[in-house]
Amino acid sequence: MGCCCSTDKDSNQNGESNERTHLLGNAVSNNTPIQRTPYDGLRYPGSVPKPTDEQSALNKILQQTATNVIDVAALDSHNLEQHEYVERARQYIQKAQAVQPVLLSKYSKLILAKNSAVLKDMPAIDNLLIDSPICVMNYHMMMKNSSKISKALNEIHIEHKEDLVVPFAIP
Amino acid sequence: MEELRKYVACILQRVDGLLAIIITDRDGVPLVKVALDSAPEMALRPSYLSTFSAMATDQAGKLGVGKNNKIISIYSNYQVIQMNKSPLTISLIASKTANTGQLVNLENDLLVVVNDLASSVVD
Amino acid sequence: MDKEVQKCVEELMTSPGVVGVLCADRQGMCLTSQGVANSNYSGSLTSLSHLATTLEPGKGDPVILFENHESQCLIHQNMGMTLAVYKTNT
Repeated sequence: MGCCCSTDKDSNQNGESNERTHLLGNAVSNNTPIQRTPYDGLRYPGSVPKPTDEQSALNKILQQTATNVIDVAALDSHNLEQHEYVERARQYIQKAQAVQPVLLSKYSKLILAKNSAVLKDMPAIDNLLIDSPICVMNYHMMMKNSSKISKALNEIHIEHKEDLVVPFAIP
Repeated sequence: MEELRKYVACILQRVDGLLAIIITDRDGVPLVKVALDSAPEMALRPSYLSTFSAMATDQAGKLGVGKNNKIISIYSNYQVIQMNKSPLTISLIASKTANTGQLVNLENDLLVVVNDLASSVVD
Repeated sequence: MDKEVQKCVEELMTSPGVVGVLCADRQGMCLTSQGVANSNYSGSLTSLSHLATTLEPGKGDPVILFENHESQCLIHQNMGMTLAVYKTNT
């Protein structure tokens, strides 16, 4: 973002004086706007092809910065009107009904798969049953290690290294 | 569609304490909504559900650790897990004591539903 | 710190027959998984150990053993932490 701001200032104050603004001004020949993600644009603001003048370049930079700023205050600005909401829900149901035949068999199979039992017949289980239920060694291994690990887990704590909130140095 | 709903309802029963599964679009308009009677009505409202897809997940994606996939919110009585499956969103409403690991793992079971809905319903 | 946990798990992985180890917290979220243990199942493993504890309340946390001819899965809960160990039959 620092990169973005500095470009902004340079082109604003010095006009044609630096290499970046020159590039932007000469880009008129390139008339096809290229689809870019905001992130790419932010990282290399100088290389964005500009079909129009400097003002639009600045606007674009401003817009990109705005999309990259986490604006908590604007979080609750958007809400759907009640009638829009009902209308759209109705549309979804309609469209979903249209594809019903295709999904019907697929989902009945899926439901069957989810509801069927996981237990299966096992051949020759006598050996397993003859053995003692659990090997003493394994039992002790589990007891020892689980207490060791949970002890180690309890020792995990947060180390304070630096402040989470960093005030900007505004003169 | 009825079968799809039944499948989601069947998944709802698989985790103790899971109260509702809602698949919505970006604005919180539900495509599939399966809920127990005990589900908190507040959490089923579009105004609540849309805050995730319209705002929170986008904003969280700007923290510099890549795209946001899911947000787990744990409240004093409930937990809400919302998954970003753009253009749709999966919201799981569960009681606080429900097994979060199991809930998160339901993503695999619900993926097929979201994909089907996304391809058939959303333009 | 977490290195201690990691060390315990790695030690466990070197024990004879052990092919996978998983640790999960009270909420079923995977803390660490190694070998064949799949972190997706941390929730189910935690849930199983919770269920097993309810069979005999007040008798402490049981060790659960699943086995077939080739392999075993041992689960034990301790102070909210669930440990699962996958072993091959020797």
